[in-house]
Amino acid sequence: MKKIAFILIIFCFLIPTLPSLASEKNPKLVNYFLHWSITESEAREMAKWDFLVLDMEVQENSPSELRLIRQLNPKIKIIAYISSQNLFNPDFNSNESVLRKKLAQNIDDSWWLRDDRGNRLSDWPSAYVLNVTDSCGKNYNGQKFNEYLPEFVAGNILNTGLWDGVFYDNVWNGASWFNAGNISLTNNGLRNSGNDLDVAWKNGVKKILSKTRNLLPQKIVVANGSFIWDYQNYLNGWMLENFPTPWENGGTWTGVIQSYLKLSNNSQNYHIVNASATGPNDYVRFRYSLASTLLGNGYFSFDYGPENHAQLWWYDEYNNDLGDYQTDAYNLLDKTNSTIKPGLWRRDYTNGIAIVNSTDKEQRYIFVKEEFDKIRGTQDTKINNGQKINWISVAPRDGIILLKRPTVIRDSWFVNGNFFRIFNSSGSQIRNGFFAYVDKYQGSQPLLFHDLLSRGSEQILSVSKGYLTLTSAGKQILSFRPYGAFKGSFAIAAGDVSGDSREEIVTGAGLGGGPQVMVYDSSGKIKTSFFAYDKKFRGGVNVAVGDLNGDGKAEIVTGAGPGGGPHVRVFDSKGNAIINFMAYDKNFSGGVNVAVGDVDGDGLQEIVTGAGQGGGPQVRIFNNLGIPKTSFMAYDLNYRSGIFVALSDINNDGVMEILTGISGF
Amino acid sequence: MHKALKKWWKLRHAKHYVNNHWHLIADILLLFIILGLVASLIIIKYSPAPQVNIAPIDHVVKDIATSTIPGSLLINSELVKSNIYLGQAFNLKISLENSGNSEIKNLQITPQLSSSFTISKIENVNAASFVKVVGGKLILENLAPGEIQEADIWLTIKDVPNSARNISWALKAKYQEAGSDYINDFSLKDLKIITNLKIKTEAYYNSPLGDQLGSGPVPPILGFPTNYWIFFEVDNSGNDLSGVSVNAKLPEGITLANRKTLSAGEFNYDESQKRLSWTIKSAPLNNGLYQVGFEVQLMATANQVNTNPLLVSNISYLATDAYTGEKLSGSLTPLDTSLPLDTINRGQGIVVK
Repeated sequence: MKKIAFILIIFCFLIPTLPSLASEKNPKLVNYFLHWSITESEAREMAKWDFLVLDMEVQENSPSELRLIRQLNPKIKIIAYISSQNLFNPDFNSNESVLRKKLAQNIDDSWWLRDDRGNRLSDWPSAYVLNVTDSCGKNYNGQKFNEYLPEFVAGNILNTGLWDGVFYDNVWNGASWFNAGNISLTNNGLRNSGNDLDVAWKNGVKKILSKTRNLLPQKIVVANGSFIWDYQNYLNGWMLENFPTPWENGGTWTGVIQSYLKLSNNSQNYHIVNASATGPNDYVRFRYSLASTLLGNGYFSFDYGPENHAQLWWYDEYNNDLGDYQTDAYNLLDKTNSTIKPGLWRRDYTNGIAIVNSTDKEQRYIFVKEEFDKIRGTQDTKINNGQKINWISVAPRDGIILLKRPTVIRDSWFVNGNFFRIFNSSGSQIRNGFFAYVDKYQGSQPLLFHDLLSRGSEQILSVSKGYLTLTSAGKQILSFRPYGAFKGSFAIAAGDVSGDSREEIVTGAGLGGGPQVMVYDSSGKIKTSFFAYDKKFRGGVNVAVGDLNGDGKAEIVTGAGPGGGPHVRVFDSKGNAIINFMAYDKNFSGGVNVAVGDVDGDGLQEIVTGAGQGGGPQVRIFNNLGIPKTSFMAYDLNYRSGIFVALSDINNDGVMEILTGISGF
Repeated sequence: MHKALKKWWKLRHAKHYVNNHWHLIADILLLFIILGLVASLIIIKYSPAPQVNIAPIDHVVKDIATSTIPGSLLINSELVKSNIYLGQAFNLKISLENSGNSEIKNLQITPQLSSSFTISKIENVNAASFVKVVGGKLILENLAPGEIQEADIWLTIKDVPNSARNISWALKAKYQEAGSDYINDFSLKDLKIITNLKIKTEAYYNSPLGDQLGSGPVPPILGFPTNYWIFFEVDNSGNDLSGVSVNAKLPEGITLANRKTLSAGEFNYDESQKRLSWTIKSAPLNNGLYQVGFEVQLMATANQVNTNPLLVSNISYLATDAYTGEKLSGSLTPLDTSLPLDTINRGQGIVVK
């Protein structure tokens, strides 16, 4: 028993030290979309975001659209918008006003905030402010507004199961600033003092938040308004609206970023930076606020601002997942000083960096040993021109997202040192090409970076002199010769071929070997083997693995090596050929390279082929049955040296990119 | 002995010769035949050997040629190196001697190779006055009895079949002596063809296929970094190689960036000396690409304005031809920002302010 306890303790210590493949997505996107209903097409678009703040009326007006969003994006968080202290005239837009009418029905007249003359006070057209303090009266249930509102939220909104939480708008940190302080909390014709107003107001807000937290302990509660730390105990996040929020900490970039970083360093993690634009093409403001948001850990939202929060603008920057953050924000103009001030601020992520110039003049910065890719965009192509850069010029109050250059291919084998171009399934080059090279391995060695053992961290399979070696965290854990005395190279792939929820290693003998496919478990024990083509054929066989028919078992896809026809075959786990087709003209004998994966985001695996030496540079994409879907030329039409194909999610968008490799450059 | 012979004679006489004189005649004939055969063997054994002149050769591979057909021409040949480069002239020294008593006339000597080889050139570089090169043949003046002449000739073999690395060959001599025509073949030591090694050195900003490899401004701007990629490639056909190394130096103002790619071998950089080396222990033929690529950064200085700064200098290579054993080495032209092979950026290397 003691031994088990000891092992468990050790295990608990080890778990956090393992590098995780489940990285956080960045930028994290929130859409603050306050229409009272949404269409199906809007729902489909919204599913691309990570987090939605939708008006509470959507649950009444568009429940199926809400469900559609979740169906399209099961990871999405959706919270319901409700104002914490004002209420629109319920007759406004009455066809869509269901919950507001319901809310209004139970509003006691004593709950309206009034001045010393008894006039109801308005902070927004067609909206009146409610008194959140304990100074208001009680309704027929003996409730004050600060009790009623959380119960309304819990009993009429969050109980539907459509929402992950609630968003309270107009949360103030006091009331003395409002209506020039002309407020009578008890509606007795006497103005309250500024201090009394503020203290009572804060306490009232805290009651709303506290009760909400008590009623909805597992739900997300986010607020927008005037920030004070007292509120944070009850919240999961805060929104900084109209960035740099004019009413927050002086309204400057420095002040707002100070508040934001202080907030986002807190463990509560649904903080939102909402920036406003003059229009969708306001790219400078977009980059400035996005890059500023990426200095912290919050979510980003971009729209017309307080006047119109309901946009579906999608930007080139959103198509590139930067992954986990690696550093805190640091000022490139004063690297040793962490004080937030105007500067050229940078934060590093796994897959890229965010830079923001918060000064009033252009800033140039030379990356001494680094190179980055600019995003290859379609919008502001002057900035996002796809170039590889080693220095940057950032305009005043502008920002930029730069992408780190890939150095290896993951989840598909490659030849160490080859040069790869990166394409989407339409044949567009989405990034600059790169040399896939890992220094600690020999040039020309086949390598596969993949989480074969489902450890949450990738292992490396390498081929050398007939040996297949499995390395994990720098330690060799397996080495054997899949083909006995054969010292030639061979193709490698990994996948759950047998359907036992453990991945197998699949190899295909290289040039000079027979077309033998071997399947080993992760301990090097042979599970099955078969000849994909005629036994006497000595051109070798390329292999790839993927679950083409969705039965939970990965199929083995083979391509004949040089000397054979362009035969592509699909085998089940027992080595039975179930699909057979010619990837290119039947007379072509330069060999065919194969890869398998979902390259177009349709949820189904495709077979991708590249012609070997002597063939044209045509990449072909076949569906899971081997029927051609599309094709493109990866190089100039006259290129005849053969192309290798690999699939890897380079931009971390969940869809595989097609990488075409050539020996040399 | 004498008694034994006398006894044998008496017995033979009494038994055969008295009865028939033909026995005596037959024995005498038999005796002469035996004596003749013995004499022939003695002559063969003790007759003088054919004369061979061996020139004093102290530094070269030597080949001795002797006539196979009777005649008085003797040829000594001296192949300075038996490892040769295709397309490059190699030296054959020959010495001709008339060992007979009659004048040798109309002497022509022709190198003979198997039909699949071609000799592109025979050149009498040292111009011995008695030798003329006409139509791939050496035409010589007459050789007087006892006369010795020497000549250096240079030959170039241009083509061989792809797989052939060894050439067997001979000199065919045709001449007249004392009214008779003679054709003699003088075999020569085999030639080994040295591997055809080129070290390709190239600098790019954009690859030949158009991919952006470098970064930074082109043309380079004073005070800004521009990164270029340098490639070394072993372009070898013929024989396997061993011990290949390519060495170079990064000039002032150039730093090695962290990015590289290798298809084979090891790449090392000594930052203190700014020296880099790429080594390959063994480079068999047809074993894929032998290439290294690495990125360098130019941070142009004021004194480089209006120039094409050097990117890599002092480029040299060493290698051993594994078949011939020949040590191969050479120096290569430095690479600069003019990028002659970069179709997109060539000619845009001059630093601007």
